[in-house]
Amino acid sequence: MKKRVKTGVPGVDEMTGGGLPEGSITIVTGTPGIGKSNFAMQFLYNGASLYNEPGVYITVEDSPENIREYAKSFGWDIEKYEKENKLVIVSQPMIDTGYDEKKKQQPSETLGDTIKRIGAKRIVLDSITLFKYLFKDEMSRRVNILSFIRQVKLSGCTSIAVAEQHEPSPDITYLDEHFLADGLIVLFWSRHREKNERCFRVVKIRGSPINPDIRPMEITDKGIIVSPTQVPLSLSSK
Amino acid sequence: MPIGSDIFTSLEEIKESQILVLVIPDKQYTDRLQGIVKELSNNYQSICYVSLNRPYRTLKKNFEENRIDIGKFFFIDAITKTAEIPTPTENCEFISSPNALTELSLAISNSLERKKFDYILFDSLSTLLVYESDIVVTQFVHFLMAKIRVVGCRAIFTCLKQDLDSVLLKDINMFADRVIDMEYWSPDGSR
Repeated sequence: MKKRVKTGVPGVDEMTGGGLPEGSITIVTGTPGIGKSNFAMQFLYNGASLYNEPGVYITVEDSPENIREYAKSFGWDIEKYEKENKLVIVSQPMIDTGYDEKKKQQPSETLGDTIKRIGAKRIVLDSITLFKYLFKDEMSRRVNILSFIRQVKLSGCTSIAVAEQHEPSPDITYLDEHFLADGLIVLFWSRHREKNERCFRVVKIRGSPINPDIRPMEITDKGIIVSPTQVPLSLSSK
Repeated sequence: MPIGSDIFTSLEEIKESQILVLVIPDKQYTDRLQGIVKELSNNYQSICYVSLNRPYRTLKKNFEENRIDIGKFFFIDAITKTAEIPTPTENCEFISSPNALTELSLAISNSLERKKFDYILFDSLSTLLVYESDIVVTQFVHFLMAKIRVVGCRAIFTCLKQDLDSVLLKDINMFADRVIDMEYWSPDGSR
């Protein structure tokens, strides 16, 4: 079995068979506000702070300043690790009025240099939905996602790509990128009357003995916690 | 009317059981519960009090008035947050509402992992039934009792006698060691 890269997110490594396979790419998908970006940043921050594994955070929509501020609310000192070159936030703006179709700038061109410079072991792309807007036709989108995945895997980094989802349930419509990635994690809301509960589900991690059951997830003042031995009781009535 | 004196020293069923359900008539509920709390405090060092009925502030005042050692208790309060934003309190964890079952279950599980309690007092199963269906509450209680058994703690769950015919109370007979009707109970063990 491949070496595991610990996420350091409480409960997640138990659900994924010990962490994510080294060099793999896992998609974390869910609806707005569920905690996808939070999860991805926690994976990267833990890499830098707990496991001495530098990482690169590619942000498409949010500014690096906002990301740093948001991280502070969990007590994560991103700037400290940026100064130590253990964490780099790369901004890949999606809305770019000067976007040149001929240039076809892709995140991976910036990424290669950054990975080499800091010796990155982890990458986060927030989000992979970027490709939907950059490439209008389905074939181009698929080809470029595949190219990105290939480049990331060649780098040897263990990666998480955040993907937006519109269905509010754990049963998602599977997209091409879900099949192309090595892993797929779904975060979703479970509603019971007036109560909304965050839930966590590992759909696949190639070559790993995962726990496929749905488990409750909380966003605490220290970050995300998944409870692998707890049943989300909001699902009981369904 | 005897309240609950010597309940833990006199009644064999209680001494031998790990998980007890005490069925209490509604008119006696407050006094019986207070008696149980007092006895737990007199006989044990560390108690987790899960309250779905009274906020921490009220319990604290009540303990002071009745000279019950609050230092022996850790509270899980599922009421205060339904009315106001609570002040962080060292010996109390606040849950959003009595029907936040996952949150409640997590709070109890985490408390059991952090600290070794002699007893858990759960007030009350009847309150759960106000908010949730029998089936959901039964599943919750079964799950919780299993956790309590695994960590080797002991527990008392209270409920009102009027809920005796509920599906939950019928199933509880399978999960708990004893279900005791407190209406006719007296300190000498006679009924």
